[in-house]
Amino acid sequence: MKKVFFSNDGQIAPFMIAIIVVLIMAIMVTVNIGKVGLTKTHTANAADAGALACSTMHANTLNTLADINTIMIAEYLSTQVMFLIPINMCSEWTRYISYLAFVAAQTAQYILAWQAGDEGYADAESAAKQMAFLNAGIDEGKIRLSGESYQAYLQRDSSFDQWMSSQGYDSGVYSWTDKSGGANSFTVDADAPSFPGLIPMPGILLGLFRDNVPPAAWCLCYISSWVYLSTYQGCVSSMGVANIPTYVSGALPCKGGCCTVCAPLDRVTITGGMAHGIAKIFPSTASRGSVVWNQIIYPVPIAFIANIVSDNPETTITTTRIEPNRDLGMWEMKYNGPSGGGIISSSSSRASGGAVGPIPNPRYDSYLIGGS
Amino acid sequence: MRYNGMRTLNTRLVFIFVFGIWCLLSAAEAAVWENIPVFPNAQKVKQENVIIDNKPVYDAIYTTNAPIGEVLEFYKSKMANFGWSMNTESIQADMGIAVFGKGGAATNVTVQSIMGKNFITVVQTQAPELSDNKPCAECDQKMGDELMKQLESVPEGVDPAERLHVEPEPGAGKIPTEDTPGKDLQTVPRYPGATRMNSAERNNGKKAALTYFSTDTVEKIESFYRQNMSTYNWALEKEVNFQDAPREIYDKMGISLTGESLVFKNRFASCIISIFKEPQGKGTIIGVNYDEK
Repeated sequence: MKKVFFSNDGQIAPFMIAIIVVLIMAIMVTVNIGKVGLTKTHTANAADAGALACSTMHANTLNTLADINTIMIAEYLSTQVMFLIPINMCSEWTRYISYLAFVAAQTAQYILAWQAGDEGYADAESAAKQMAFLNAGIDEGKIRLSGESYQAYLQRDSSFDQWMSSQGYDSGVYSWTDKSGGANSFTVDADAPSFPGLIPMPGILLGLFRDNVPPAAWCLCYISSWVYLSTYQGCVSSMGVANIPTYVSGALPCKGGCCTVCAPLDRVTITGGMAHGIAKIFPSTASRGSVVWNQIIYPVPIAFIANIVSDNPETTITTTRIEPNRDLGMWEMKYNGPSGGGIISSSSSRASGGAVGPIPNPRYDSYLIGGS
Repeated sequence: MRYNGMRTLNTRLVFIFVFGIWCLLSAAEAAVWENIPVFPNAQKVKQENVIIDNKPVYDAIYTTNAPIGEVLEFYKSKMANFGWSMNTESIQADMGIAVFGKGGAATNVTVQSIMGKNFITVVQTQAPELSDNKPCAECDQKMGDELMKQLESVPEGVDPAERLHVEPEPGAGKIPTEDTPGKDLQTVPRYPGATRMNSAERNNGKKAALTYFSTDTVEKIESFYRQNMSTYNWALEKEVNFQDAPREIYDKMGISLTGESLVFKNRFASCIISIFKEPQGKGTIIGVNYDEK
């Protein structure tokens, strides 16, 4: 006994015990912090992946819109070229129909662009959630069913995989119970903008006409109600019709002086629902065989896309992981439950670098711009 | 051995022929642009040759920050150095045009302001023969006389548009029933009985726009294209109803389209066929926009 109490042996033991206790506590803290860190990393990865996926989809959509706008602008310029080829006024019907066909084609492209924008932005939110869940590090155990062969077990998708395949990610929440009965969940909130819409750019098509003066006293060509024929004021006044200059949209002076060789054309709207433009030719002031140039301005409601309503939309993806608390015997590892908000990460991104209009540049790319 | 030699010779001849044609076409196009000055510091957007209604048209589009008047003054002074004489010109607030002639050719220079930039469009084509001018067969002498009487009775200071009323004669303003020159697309069926109103072909036929007119209903023509496009290996991808377009834009301009665009695609191209009522109810317009990949 004396030897036991008064021996010098084992003096280090209490210190060792204290150190071991401290080490155990340090290990527990480390494990706890590591676990929290891992979970935080997963939530951050998920948020980043989701945000980047969303902005990538936005960028792709905006590039598609820029491509559509390039086509629209090219069509607009080409059609303008076509309308600058001079034809005679009485062939205006063919030009008028071409004009309407152009308006229809541009309208169709505009509607298609809007639909592509709507679909792209809706898909972006879905893609954000999908990528966030795929990167969430969900460690749900796959339970082997009773009587299930090992091969069948391996081939069977886990509950999470099945949930992903059925596009359950659109709901934004995945919940599961771990082996010890703890309630787990992973939530993805996407604050992604909906498609802001397109701003149409109205324009005009200038139609050029070249006529000789026909012998007829009057000539009426049926032209749509919204066309404007140019005229030369001097000719009109020589006819004693005072108010015609109201309709003058542009004057093309005729070669050699108006009142000797010019055959003016103007536009008159006929009331009563039916409306036509009318080309008048005054032979009394024009010599037969002389040349007259005229122009019609055709308004185009949608020539191309001026821009999207709001460029550089910002997306924020917030992910929340809730795990059950763990009791390690000496230390309860605390993970905030539903009341405490869980471990949260968020990430923001945006698509930028390109332009939809008026000089389209399909160089949009996605960038992460912040996170926590 | 001899056969092989002949084959090689034939191949060479074909190659020389094709190369010769290419050289001639390139030289012709180059000659067109050698005769037209370019506004200093203007940036070229595109330059192409287009076949419009079977006639070659050369066009170039530039952008500039210079004012419209300055651009037109430049062309007025410089075109004369290349032998062009000015036929007519017109300058408005956001648009200016000058028309030049030389021999049988006509060149139009248009300057148009679009969103703060001035677009210069230079188009060279053959001037229409004045003998082509029909004596206005579609014109309505009676209506003109009636309108003239009304115009003369409108007091000074009153907008004649509010006072004039002439009902057109039934059947007046006839739409042409003969095809304009040009050609249909081989890969897109033409609606039976429709009249071709115009055709434009670019990039060696890779892009084309055609317009037809028919007196049949929109529904009947749509049904035709839905049924027949598949035999030309087209698949209907989307349908666009013109009623989905923003109404306020059209209301402001007094344009209303009733009909649909059918978007067809195949491995090589896309084709948008727009079928809609002519606003005055005279028939149906069919627009075909073909775009090869």
